[in-house]
Amino acid sequence: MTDAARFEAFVREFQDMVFSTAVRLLGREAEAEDVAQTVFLRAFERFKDLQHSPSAPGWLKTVTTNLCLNHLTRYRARWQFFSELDREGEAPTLATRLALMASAPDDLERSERHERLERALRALPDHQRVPLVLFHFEDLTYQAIADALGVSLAKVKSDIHRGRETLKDRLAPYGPR
Amino acid sequence: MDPADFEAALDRELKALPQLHAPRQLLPRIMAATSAPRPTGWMTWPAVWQAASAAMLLAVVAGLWMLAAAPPKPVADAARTAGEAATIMRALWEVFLQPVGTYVLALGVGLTLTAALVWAALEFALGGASQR
Repeated sequence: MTDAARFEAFVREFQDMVFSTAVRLLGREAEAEDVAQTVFLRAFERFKDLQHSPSAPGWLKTVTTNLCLNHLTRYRARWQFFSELDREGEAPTLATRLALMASAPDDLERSERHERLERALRALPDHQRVPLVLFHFEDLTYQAIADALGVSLAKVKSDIHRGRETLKDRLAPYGPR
Repeated sequence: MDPADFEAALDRELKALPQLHAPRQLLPRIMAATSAPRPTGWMTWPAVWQAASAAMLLAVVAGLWMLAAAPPKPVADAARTAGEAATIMRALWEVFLQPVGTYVLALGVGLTLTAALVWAALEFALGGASQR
């Protein structure tokens, strides 16, 4: 197997994980794709170390998270902490991506629930979605999130709380699970 | 629902979300980017290093410019001495060497050619006897 083939297999194995992390942090697929490409180019530069390393998934997640936070800081006017974007009009193409459309009713219901949750998550403003994702998906503590985002601990707690409330409101019509 | 219960339920739901599928074009994009010729040297430096090196280069150029425009006394003295020495050398060349330089060169070339011809003639006349 050539180096290129090995790297291609590596990308195939981890591209969904990297892309998912980036989409959930950035909320936009096009930007997430750009970030994912950058992540794998960095991985390519140190592929000799990464290809057999058990820490490769963790390394990829960390680099993805850092690049997403850099991207948000650089391209989105300092986080827009005090002004929320109106993103209600966006229609994510998530339905085509979940690939969970099983024939059994339970699977279908679960798939729809996941889709609603993903959609609601992506519709959150950056300053609520990013700390929420870091807390629930990356298992970072409030303090670690505050350090990573360069904001106060109180603000992180407040934003996560508001994000949860927003999700609760948006998911309320479908009932608690 | 109690906030703590909701937080736990939300945590479960979020963690249960499946991974999204990366777009189909991502893999070809990455493979194309890795096989493309990559920039080397200064282009690969971090932006801060690039800015610092550019600033340093500018400072060096500006320093040389200022040195040429208003050199400090020791440098000016050294330059004047070098200039005077060059003037003397040029005067010596123009007075003594240049008038006869062409003739000396022609004489040298002529003598060399003559010596070569004499040597060839001797070789021919002696029929290579010296090599036997």
